Amino acid sequence: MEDKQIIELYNQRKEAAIEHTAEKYTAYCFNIANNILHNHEDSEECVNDTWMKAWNAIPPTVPTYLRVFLGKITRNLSFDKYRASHSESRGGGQMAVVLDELEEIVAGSSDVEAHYEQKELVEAINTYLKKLPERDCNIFIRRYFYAEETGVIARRYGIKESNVLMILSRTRKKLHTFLKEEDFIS
Amino acid sequence: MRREELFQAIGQIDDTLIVKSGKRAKRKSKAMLRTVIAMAASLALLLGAATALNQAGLLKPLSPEVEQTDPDSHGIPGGPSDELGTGLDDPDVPFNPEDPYDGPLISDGGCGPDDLTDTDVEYNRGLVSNEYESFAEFNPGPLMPVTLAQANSFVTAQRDMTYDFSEVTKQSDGFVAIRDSYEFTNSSDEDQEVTLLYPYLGTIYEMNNGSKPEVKVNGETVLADIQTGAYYGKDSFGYEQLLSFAHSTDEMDCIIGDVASHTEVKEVDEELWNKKVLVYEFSDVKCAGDPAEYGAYAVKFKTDDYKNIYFQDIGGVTYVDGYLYVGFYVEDVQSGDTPKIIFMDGKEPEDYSEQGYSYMEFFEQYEVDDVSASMTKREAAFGEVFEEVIASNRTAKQWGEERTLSEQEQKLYEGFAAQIVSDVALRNAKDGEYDDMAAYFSNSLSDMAYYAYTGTTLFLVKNEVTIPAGGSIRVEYEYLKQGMHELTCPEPDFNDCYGYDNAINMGTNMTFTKQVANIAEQGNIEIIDQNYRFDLAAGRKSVELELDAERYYMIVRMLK
Repeated sequence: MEDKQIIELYNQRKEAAIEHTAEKYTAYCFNIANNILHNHEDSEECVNDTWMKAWNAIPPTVPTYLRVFLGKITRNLSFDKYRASHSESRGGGQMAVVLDELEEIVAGSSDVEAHYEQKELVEAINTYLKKLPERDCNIFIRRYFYAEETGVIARRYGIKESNVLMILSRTRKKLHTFLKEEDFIS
Repeated sequence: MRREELFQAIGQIDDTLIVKSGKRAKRKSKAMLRTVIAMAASLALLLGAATALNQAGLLKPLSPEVEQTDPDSHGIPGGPSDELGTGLDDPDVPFNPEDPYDGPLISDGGCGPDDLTDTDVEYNRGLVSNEYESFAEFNPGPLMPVTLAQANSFVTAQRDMTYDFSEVTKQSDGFVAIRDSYEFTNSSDEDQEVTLLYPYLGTIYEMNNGSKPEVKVNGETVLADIQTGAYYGKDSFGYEQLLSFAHSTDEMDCIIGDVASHTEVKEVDEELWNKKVLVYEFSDVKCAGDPAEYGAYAVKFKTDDYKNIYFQDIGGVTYVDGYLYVGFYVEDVQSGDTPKIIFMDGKEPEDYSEQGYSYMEFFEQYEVDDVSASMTKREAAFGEVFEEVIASNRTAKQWGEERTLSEQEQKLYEGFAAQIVSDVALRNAKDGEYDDMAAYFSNSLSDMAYYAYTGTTLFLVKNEVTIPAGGSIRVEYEYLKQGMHELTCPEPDFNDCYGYDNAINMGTNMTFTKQVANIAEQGNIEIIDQNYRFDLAAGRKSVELELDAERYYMIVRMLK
């Protein structure tokens, strides 16, 4: 079923909306959750919660891209669950590596300096990503939005994993510099 | 800011960016490999044509019977876009959560207009070029002018260069015949002996396929020496960058700098070459299932010195909690790979163990007991081990081509590979972060050897000439040069288009008194963007260039 039709079902408050959403987007959302959680059961739970969140959000929200809309919900839910189960512990799983990599970008900044709104930070990241060469931007998103394994990213773009690592390393450095220039980090 | 905040902010980025990142994979497919082979065939034919032209002294039409590229490689795709089977692209892909790579690993797919969205058009800028920036997914580099090994104020030059598209077709992969001619004049009353350096940006693979520059002095072909120059440096952002991955001519300019500064021949690092190392070599690898879909083998050991561990033919490396995991695919070993781990300190690794995995993922849930391998240990000099890597490097053979390198090419290849290994070793020996270049190669000797064969570098075509007092000589360089292009998904407006940058003053110390650019064609091309002022319809095919200009460019569509 087309996304527009599914959204129409949500607007009409028909529960078939959830059924069709699940049919079409379970694999997509499950993988986002599983990349973060590395746990089948928890990932399934997040996916089911995603349908409920979507049900509550549409209407009034009318997603431009239903898939991305759902993906973002799953990602948030999964990350909340990840944080709840890992608190401050380090190590283990892909998500820990992803966070360690992000640590490089925010390195040197303190926890108490948040004088910005999150939406300003999001806008800055959007600006930065749009300046990147297309492939570097895509690789960044596969890694830090989807928390995808570098080996999987390498296969996706037909390049060596070591090249993915190099591109990620460079984009992290550039983002660090960019956020510094924009006063998001000290 | 905490890393968690950043992760959450990334979760709110523009939907269009996320959609874009899920587009069809741009990777080397079977179709791409066929394109490479077709490219080789085109090259061979074009070179044949060039030779014929030289012999006959006139142009003769060619009918290149090149192997056709898969029409699907630039056509409308069939099937789902999520070839990796991650489910993250196309929700209709049957999903197996136990199998992270449940899709086919190699695709014949491509993409075409039907795949394009507004977002694609926005980001897939492709061959958008201007005189200061040229961006395309694949940029083989600009045409660069000759320079002198040592600047000489008595010597000036007039340049007359031609892009000859006469025999180029859509199947030529953008390779165009270049004739770059120079009239060198000596204004002094003494003969001037100078060393000419002609910069050629390309790969040993391309040279082996016939794009090596041929040099003529006063009409006579001469045997010129060729040496490798820059292959990495700082890009325009100040980051380490390999020439192959430079995104624009400006970045290449940053990396290369002064061409004459690259003449020093780098010697092999004797200390590194003679170093006694410990080699673990793996063979007799077996698994219970189909090796094409199943089976990886990995070793794990404790180390805090992973920079000093090198590899050959491995499939994956991960460093977690002080342990290095090194894995290789069963199928690859059964196809002829010889995985090796080289411990540069010559010492046995600590807490060493081996384990089979159903995938190249070193998690407990993928551990299996029915993958096995034999391991042998030996001591050797590092140089011997690297020679084995060079000897086993599957270059042309991997693509189904049976060709050998000429003596000159083999020497260049081995020298270039040795230079890369020495550079990586040198950088690994430094304290501090794992820099980009070392990260790119990940201590994989196979990757370094492969890069030496296929990676873009600056080659210097070198020959000495004497310019008589008050007189002049003519030197010509003839070769094939590929245009920049998108490998897979060109914007519809740029189908069959290639971009050609001409950096008329890049890296040179030469004083030019005139530069003229010419274009030859037979109604087989159209120029869709340029800053030369060519006008094919009006017959203006020759223009004098402004000597202080940085770049000239043109985007050409192949019509036939």
